[in-house]
Amino acid sequence: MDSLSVSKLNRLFWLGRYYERLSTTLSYLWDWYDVMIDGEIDYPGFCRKLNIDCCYKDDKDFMHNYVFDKNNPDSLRTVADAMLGNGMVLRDVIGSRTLAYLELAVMGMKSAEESDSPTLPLQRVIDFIMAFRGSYDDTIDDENVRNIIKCASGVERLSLYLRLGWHLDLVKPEIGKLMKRMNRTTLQPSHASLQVLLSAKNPETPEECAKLLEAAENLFVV
Amino acid sequence: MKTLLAHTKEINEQLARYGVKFGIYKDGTFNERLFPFDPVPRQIPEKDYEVLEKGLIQRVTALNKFIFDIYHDKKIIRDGVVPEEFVYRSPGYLAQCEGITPSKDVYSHISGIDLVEGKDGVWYILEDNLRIPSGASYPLIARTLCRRCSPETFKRHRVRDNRNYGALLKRTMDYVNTGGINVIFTPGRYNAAYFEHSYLAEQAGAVLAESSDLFVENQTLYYRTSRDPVKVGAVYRRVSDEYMDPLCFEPTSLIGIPNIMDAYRAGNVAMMNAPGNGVADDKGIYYFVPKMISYYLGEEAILKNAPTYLPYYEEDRKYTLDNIDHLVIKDVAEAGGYGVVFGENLTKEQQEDLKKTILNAPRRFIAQEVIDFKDLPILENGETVERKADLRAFVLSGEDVQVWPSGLTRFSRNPDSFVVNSSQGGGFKDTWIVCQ
Amino acid sequence: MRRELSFYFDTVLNFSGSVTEHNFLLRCIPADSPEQKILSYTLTVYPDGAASLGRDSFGNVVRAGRVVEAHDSFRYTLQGMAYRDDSQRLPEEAAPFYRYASPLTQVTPDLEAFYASAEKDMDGCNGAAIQMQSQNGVQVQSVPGGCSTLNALEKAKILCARVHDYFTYTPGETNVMTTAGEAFAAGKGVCQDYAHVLIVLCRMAGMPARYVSGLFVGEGASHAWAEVWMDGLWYGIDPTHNRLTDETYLKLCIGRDYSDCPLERGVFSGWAEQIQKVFTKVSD
Repeated sequence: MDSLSVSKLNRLFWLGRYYERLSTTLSYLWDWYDVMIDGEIDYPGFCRKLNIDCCYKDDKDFMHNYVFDKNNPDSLRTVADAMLGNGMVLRDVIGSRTLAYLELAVMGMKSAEESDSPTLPLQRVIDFIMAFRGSYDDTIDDENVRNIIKCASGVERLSLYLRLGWHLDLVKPEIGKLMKRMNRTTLQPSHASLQVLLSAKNPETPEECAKLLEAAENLFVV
Repeated sequence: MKTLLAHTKEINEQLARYGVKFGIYKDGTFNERLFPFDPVPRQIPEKDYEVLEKGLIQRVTALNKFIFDIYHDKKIIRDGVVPEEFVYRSPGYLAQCEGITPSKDVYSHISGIDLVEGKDGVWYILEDNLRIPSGASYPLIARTLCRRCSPETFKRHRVRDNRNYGALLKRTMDYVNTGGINVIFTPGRYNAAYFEHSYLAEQAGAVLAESSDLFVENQTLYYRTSRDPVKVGAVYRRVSDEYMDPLCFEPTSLIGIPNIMDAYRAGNVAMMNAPGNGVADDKGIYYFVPKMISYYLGEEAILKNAPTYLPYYEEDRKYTLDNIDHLVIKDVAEAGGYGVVFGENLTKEQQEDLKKTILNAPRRFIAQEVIDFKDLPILENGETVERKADLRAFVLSGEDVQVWPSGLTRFSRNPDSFVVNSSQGGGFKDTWIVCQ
Repeated sequence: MRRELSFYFDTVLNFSGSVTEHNFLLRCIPADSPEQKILSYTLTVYPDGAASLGRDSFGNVVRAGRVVEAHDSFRYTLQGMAYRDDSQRLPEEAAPFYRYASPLTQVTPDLEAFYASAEKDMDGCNGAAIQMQSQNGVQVQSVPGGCSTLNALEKAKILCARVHDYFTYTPGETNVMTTAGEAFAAGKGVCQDYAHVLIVLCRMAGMPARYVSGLFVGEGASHAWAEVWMDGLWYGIDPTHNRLTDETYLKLCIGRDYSDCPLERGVFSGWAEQIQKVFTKVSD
């Protein structure tokens, strides 16, 4: 059968957003473990940019709770669980072999939590997500299904870059990739968002970032 | 076998990697845990298996005929073989299914028959599960992973391959399919057996669907897609009867499919297993299965029931009351290892209370001799200990009735417990049919 | 007495908000039988979609439908002509499930005690004359003493009178999910509750009994009563009015109790309270 149910389409989309959120945010925080050795990290700024509660005592508390606390709704561990949760209901679409990489990523989060040098196990988490992406791309025949998840991941990546003011020089190329993938899906983009993104340059001011962010977030209504 | 056991760690890692989990509700919250796997397989010699296979095919054939009979002519009741109140007071009997003839007359497509092997080497049937028996996925994936972890073991032992379960399931679905796709219908991710639902969908090449993915229009079941709706010809539903259709059964059910019963009755979709099957796997009806076999098939039952007494009959009632201290008493309305009381564990007072309860509602109970199970070795902290175990055999009814050459062996981790139900914390083993 | 009835049955459901994906099942189309010939009928449903007709396990005509689009009310209207003649009934077997308790007709200790006291009238031969209003409400009929010879229908009449006397007709105290035991404990209820309690008692007395939803001559709401089976025939008995039914009654559907045969049942998406308005009119 070549068409997915509406609810699976929705799961697929969110699976794409969550794995991207997990891996991109981990990559961003990756350097902070190094910074913390002889300096301070601006976690209150991070929380502000992502518009999440800043309920952390200090640098160490942030790096532990924001990354690992499964009872913290903003934490990356929660993101990882949501990623796996969406993957689990797609087993018949993506296959057990591919799904296993999501299980491994979540197990990697758990073992990183128990480790006194979490950077290495977290590196494994990113590796597993990369393996998931490769396996997914390699095994899914349906072009639509293959590209929906990539569109979602592209939206999430743009969203994080724009919120964090990170890799702003990559925004235009990311938009370009997103547009190409979108054309291979049945997704119906919002016309207004499309106009903004198609004419976008790499943003330089916070206002430009905000405008692009709004367009990216509203591009697809799934 | 030693090589297999040496790979226990790798096997467990593989099971975790594939998310072989079992959901449990405790204190109102849902938790998933890995279903504990013991690598020591239960081994059944092929010649013993051949007897089991014949007996299971015979039993399931008779049970299917019984369910057909109950919802049509009721000959077995008219002929006085089964007293009518055991049928009509059974919570599994559904008047809403009267007169419905399922596709190809099959009611119990996937039957899970629980057996134990006595110390005397005789296999006894413990109970029949004809509604939504779960568990096949666990030995199925465990075998695949064990072979991967310890190939030498499987070179040395000639074990009947069990990895065809997905294909068997697909064949069964295709046979009863009325035209359209095959769907496995799950109540959702927070069901205890969700892993199984999703894994079997993958293995059988069926679409996994939840309530919101399906709808009925013009007495036809459809799968809702982002393009046109797709007709469903067979639905292997893992939702219990009472929640299947809010317009026919429990009106508050949010996990059902409105009017699916109307589509099913019209013959436009096959439901696996058929609704109403519960009338045949009731603990009270269990007593009558050997009689059904001779009634419908004119044969002697090949597999024995555990010696069972029905307090409903005066003679049995007297025996039950006199021997309550060594019998196991089961409440026919309960399932999942609940409502089971061992007389020997009761104080004198409790025994007297139980006797009174039985006298007040004799039809509600059955009494059985406690079977001295053959214990099976399990690995615990690196040492081998003996534990109680049962076997759930899977029998698939389609064009023919077939037994899956494997099964789910469940064991109790508590050395004093006879209850091996997975919802009560047990573990599982693979079941090998070993060629000589 | 043979009659030709013209019937009209109109139900409007008003939702407090808009609902979508509305799936429904109607059981209001009366079955055609020798004693109740449906000469003509029309059923209009609005909004409507994907209409289909079938039968359920109790022999009722079921009319399914599905409305996907948003709507804030739902209406179905049945009208037609029927020819009624109870002398035309043909003998039939009673399905065995009509002798057993169903979801809304479970036996409770209260009901058991009530039955035990009524049993005295049936078996105790104390000669109590049971008065029953007949069809036209004038004639008084009495059941003689020597009750060991009472047949099922006569016993049902005694039980019916008991139920009628026991209950206080009180709308709003019970709902469609109320069991016989709950209604009995309250001592209050509507026709559905009267019928449920009578059904429990008749089944305790060993006779097959079933629930009927229907209409009768006059204007107002739909009605419910019971039927008991004796010697191959079903007899309608109306505990709300303490009488046997006759050709002024029009049967819409039957079941073991209300839950088997609601005239309308639906599920939809959306949070909405619903208010139901029913108008019926039957005339001969």
